Amino acid sequence: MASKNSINKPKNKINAFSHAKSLAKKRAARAKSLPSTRSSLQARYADKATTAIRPTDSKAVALYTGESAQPIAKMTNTTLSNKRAKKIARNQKYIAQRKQAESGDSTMEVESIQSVEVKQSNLDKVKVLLWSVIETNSNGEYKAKADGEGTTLGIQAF
Amino acid sequence: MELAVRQEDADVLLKQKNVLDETVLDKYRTAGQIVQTGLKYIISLINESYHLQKSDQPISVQELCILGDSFLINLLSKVYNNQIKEKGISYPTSIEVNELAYGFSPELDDEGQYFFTAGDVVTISLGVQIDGYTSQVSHTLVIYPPGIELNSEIKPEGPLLGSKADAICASHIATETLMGLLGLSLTPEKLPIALKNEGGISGRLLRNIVDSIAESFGCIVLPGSKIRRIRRFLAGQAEGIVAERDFKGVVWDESHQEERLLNKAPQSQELILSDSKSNIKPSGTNNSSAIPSDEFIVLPGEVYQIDIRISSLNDFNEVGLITLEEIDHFTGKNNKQEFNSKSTIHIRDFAINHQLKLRTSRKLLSEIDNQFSVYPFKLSYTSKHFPIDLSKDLTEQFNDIKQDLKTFKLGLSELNNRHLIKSRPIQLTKFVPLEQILISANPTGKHGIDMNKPVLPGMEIPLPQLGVSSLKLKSLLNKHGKSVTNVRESITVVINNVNNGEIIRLTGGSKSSSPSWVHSQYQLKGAYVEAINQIGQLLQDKRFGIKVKEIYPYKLNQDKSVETSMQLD
Repeated sequence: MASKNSINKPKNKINAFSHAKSLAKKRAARAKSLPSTRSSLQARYADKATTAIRPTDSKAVALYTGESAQPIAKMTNTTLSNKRAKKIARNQKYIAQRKQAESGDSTMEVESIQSVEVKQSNLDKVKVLLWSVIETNSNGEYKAKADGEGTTLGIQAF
Repeated sequence: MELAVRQEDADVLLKQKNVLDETVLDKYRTAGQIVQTGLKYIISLINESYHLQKSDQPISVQELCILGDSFLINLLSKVYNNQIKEKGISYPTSIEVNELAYGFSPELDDEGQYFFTAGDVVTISLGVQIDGYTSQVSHTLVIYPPGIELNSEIKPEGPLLGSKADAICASHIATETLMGLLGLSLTPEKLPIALKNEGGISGRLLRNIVDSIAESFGCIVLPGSKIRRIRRFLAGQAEGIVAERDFKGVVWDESHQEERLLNKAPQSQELILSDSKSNIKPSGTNNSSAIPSDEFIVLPGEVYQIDIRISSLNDFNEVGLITLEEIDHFTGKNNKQEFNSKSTIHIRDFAINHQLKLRTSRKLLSEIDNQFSVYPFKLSYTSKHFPIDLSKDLTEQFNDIKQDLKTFKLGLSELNNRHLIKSRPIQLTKFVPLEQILISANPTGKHGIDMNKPVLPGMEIPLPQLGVSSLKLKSLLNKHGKSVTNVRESITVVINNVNNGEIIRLTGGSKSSSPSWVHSQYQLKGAYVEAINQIGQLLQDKRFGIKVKEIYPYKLNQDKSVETSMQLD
C-alpha cells in the first residue's frame, strides 16, 4: 500500500472504501432500530425466522373452537391449518384423559357418560328424531283420515 | 356475474315502471286475456280429441305445444303494435302428464309418442308478456274415459277418485284461498278473526295456510312451489339461472318437508329448531336480498304469481320426501328403461359474452337476442314457418318446422356449450323413503352442489338438518325413487289499489279453467279451517266480500279462430 504522502496513492479506491463503510454503518444502525420485514431490501435474503411479519402475512393463530370455519364475508389473515386444528384437538383429548385419570375412578364413570351425551352432534339428534317418526308412522298414526262426506270439485262435464 | 346498471336507471326500471296505473294495468289485462284464451284453446283441443273423439287420431303433446304457442303468437300480433318494443311468450306452452313436473314441452322432432290415457292428470302451463308485464297460468285437468250421453250431451261417467283427486282438491282450494288472502291485503278489516293477530298478510301466514290445506288432504307441497311478487321483466322466468335482487315471496323446497317431519317427532325438538336456521345457512350470504325469506308483508299495488304444486302421499305407507329429479343425458341409459327426453326450453344468460365460431350459431344468437330477450324460448320459435297458420293444412307445416329445426340444432349446442344459453331441465316428481336417506352413508356431508338443478339462492342444500346435498339426494333417487303424480295450479293476480281497490285475476278462474270433476275422501281440517271457509265466503260475496275481477278469455269460434272484437272483462 502506498503511503499517505505518496505521489501515486490510489485516491479513488480509498474514497470509495470509506464511502461504502459509512453507508454500511448507517444501514446497520437502521436495521438495529427498525425490525426488518420480509419485503425490506436488506432482508431480501435474510432468514424468514429473523424478519418481521408483514401486516398481510397469514398468522397461524391457534384459535381452536372445535367447529369448522364458517364462510364469512370478511378478510382475515389469521389462519388455522387443518393439521394444527387436528393437533390441538388431539392434545385437548389427551389433557382431558389425563385429568380424568388423575381425579380418580369413581367420578370418571359419571363424567364419561355425560361427555358422551354432550358429544352427540346435531345430526345425530336429527336422525334419532326422524327414526322415531318412521316408527310412529308404522303404527299408521300420520295417515290422513277420511271422514265426513269428503270433497267434490267441479261438475259433470269435460 | 353482475351487470352494472346506474342507480337512476335501476330506479326507473325496477320502481317507476312497476307502479300500477291505467297503462300498466291494461298491459297486464291484455296479457292475461291472451293467456286465458290460449288455455281455453288447448283445453278445447284436448276435449275434442280425447273426450269427444272428433278426430280419428288423438292429438299428441308435441302438436299441442306448437299449436298453443302459435295461437298465442297470433293473438299477440293483434295487440300493441308499434307501441311497445317487446312482447312475446313468457312461458312456452308445456304439457306435463302425471309425474312430469316441469319443462316438458317437446319439439315436433321428438321421436317419443306422447299421448294421454284415461285417468291421467295433465298440467297445461303457458304465459305471455307484453312490454315485460307477464301473466302466466297453469291448470291441471283430468283425462276421463270416453263419456256417456246424458241429455244429448256427452259427459264423463263419474268423478276421478283416489290420490290424484286429493291433490287436485288441495291445489284448487289452496290457490283460491291464497287469492282471497292477497285480496284481503286491500281490506285488512275483513280478515277472519283467526288471522287478525298475525300482523298483516305475511309470508309465514301464506305458507302455514297452504301447508295446512295440503296436510288435511294427505298431500305435500312440492319443492318449486311459490307465491311470489312479480315485476316488469322479473316474473321468475330465469329462476335458478339468474339471481333476482329483492326477491319477495314464499318458496317451498325439500328443507320444509324435513322440518315438517322433525316437527312431527314426538320427542322434544326445541334443541334442534333453536339452532337450526341461523347455523346452517352460510353467514356470508345471509343478508342477500336474493334469498327468499318468509319475513315479508303483502302490500297493495303488487302483482303476485301463485304457483302451487301438490302431490299426494296417500299411496305410500312409509314416510318420505318428495323431490324433483332432473332428466339429463344419462337418464334412461341403464337397464331400467326410464323416461327420457331432451330439454327444449332455453333461456339466454345475458351476463355471458363469447365470440362464436360457427356462422349458424352467430345467426341464432342474434335472433335470440333480438326476439326473445330475457324470456325462455324453444328452438321452433326461430323457424321461418312459425307461427303455424291454423287455417291451413297442419301436417305440411309441421314438416316444414321439423326441417328448420335441423339447421339450428348445431348452433344451439354451441350456444349451450359456451353457456350463452341455459336449458331448463325436464323434472320429474319422485318419492324417496326417509328410511333410505337415513341409512345411507353420507361421508361427504352437505358439500357438493348439483349444477343442473335450478334452485333459488340459499336453497342449494335440500336437507340442511340431515346434511344431505343435492348430489347425494340424486344418487338416492336413482335407486329408491318412486314416481308420484303431481298437480299444479298457477295464477297471476294484481292487487289493484288504483281507484277502488280490487283484486284482478289475470289468469285462471271459472271462465277458462274450472276444476275437473273429482272427489276426494278427505275434508279440510286443521287450525285454519274456519278462516279458509270464511275467505271462501268472502270471495263469493259480491257486495261485502273481496272484490275480484276476473279476466275473461276471447270467444273461441267453431273453427278455433278468435273473434277479434276486443271485449275487456
